[in-house]
Amino acid sequence: MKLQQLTLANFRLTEQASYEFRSKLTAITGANGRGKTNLIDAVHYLCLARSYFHPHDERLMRFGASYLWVDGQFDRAGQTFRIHGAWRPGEKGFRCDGKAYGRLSDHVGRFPAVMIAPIDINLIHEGGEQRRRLMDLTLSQEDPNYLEDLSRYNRLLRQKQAVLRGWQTTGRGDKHLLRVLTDQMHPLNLCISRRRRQWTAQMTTLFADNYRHISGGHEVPSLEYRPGWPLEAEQTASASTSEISAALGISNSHKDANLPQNEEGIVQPGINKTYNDDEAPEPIKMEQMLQQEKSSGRCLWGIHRDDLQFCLDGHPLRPHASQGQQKTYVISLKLAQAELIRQATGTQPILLLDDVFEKLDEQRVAALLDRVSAEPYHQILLTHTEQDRVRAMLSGNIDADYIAL
Amino acid sequence: MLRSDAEISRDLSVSLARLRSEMKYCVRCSNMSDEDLCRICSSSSRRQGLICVVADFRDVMAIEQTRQFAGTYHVLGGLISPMDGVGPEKLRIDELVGRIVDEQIHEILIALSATMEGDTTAFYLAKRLEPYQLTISIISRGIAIGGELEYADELTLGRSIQHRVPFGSQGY
Ligand SMILES: [Zn+2]
Repeated sequence: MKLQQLTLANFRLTEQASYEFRSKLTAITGANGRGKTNLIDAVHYLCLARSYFHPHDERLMRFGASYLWVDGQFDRAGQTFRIHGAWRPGEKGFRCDGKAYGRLSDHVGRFPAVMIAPIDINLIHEGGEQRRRLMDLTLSQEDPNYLEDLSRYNRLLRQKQAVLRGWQTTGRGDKHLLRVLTDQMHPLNLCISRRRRQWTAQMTTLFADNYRHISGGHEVPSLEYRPGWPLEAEQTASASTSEISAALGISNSHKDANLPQNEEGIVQPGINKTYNDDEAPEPIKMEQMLQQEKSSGRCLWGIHRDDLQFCLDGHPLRPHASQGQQKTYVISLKLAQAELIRQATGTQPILLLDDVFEKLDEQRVAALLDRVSAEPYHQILLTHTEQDRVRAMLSGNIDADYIAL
Repeated sequence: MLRSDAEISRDLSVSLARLRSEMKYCVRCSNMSDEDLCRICSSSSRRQGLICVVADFRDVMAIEQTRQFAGTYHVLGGLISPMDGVGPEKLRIDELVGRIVDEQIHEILIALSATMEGDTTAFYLAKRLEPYQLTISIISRGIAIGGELEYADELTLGRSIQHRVPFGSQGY
């Protein structure tokens, strides 16, 4: 898939501008502050209906403007699509060839893109939220139901947190309601957790391969999924709830979950666990879980507490690895993400490389460029401060164009 | 004869004000009513012992339009949504439980929107009503997921009452 043409209006600093992309690789160059990152973020916005850098769309709008839009023409398998995304306070809409999508999530995944940017290092240094976001960004492009499940889960989570907060302040609450919300979240926990566990397994191979290639070294990287809820809980959710769910048509989409099930259709816990036993969460019964949640006033169990453990040669990455190793680790992960999206959707995502060459030695830069040139990417957009440096790095082994800002 | 716009709007606001001041709610089911007891609750032709639970009095009108339901109603006054400050205690759920004992109710039909909050409310009702050994059914989902009940067309809504499904107890 290829983005052929892009127009922005009131996007960040740009009042209005159009760009054309002809080659496999386009290098966007210019001094800092010229808007290189904004330009590739606009591509991200067009593809995924959200900015990579700013969670709130009002931050994207040019100062003093009252709306923004992005418009682009894609070529996908020989067919042309025109995508138009617009935002103004209180209103956001995306259209494909003039026809509005029913939901934004219908757009996500049709024109995939993967961004690699310096802030990705937060995957290593910050909390689990960043790592869950990495999983979610891949999985929601692979599978529209995932995004739907996730937003349903998050809504229930907000409801349950409201109940728990009330419980903590007043010392009392409705135990039936707490149980009902927990039970409603249960099939979503199962389903999202299953998808994330699968994702981790798929990623591990692809990503280790990338890492070896770029680092040229012998370290073995690994990735582990840490569920934010005891697998024991899968068994203790009441059977009556699953019947109610069936009547309500809620769990239908989760019935075919590929988790091992016993005859009553209750999921067998612990089969696919990927963590070491000594680090496994304590198996806790549902009632005990709820008791702990009531006293803490927070929702302690669920996929909103999932995490990924990054390791190199079996050791946690964070205190041990060098900056170069960490950066290589993150880039390898993101390239694997792009590869997974291609496998799942059959569409090659656009690769957006924001300032990735910084802090990488020349050998790794060469290996990275070699990797992305060899892979069947249809389109790569990258940013760099100096055009001459990029020209030298590319050294003619890839079809490249330049946009100087 | 054309009356002036001012005259029309004055008439309109007078009748709206009268409507508002005369609008009452049925003491039993909370449906809109002129009297203490609404026309449905006081009708001898309605099947006793069967209650259809809805969120809003407009849902009563929508279901009445279908002519598929012969029992009485219970209007909850909303759906459970704790993050919006609507806990079960803000809805007329205790009143419903009271009616089950007082009126010897043996069947409940839950007719709520197919939204997350509609589901939460339905689950919650099922849990609260568990001790009473009722037949609990729920309108089948011909209604678009995320759809509001009052916007469903009559045919769809009527069919989903005919094809109501058992809820909770016997499995499905
Ligand atoms: Zn009444």
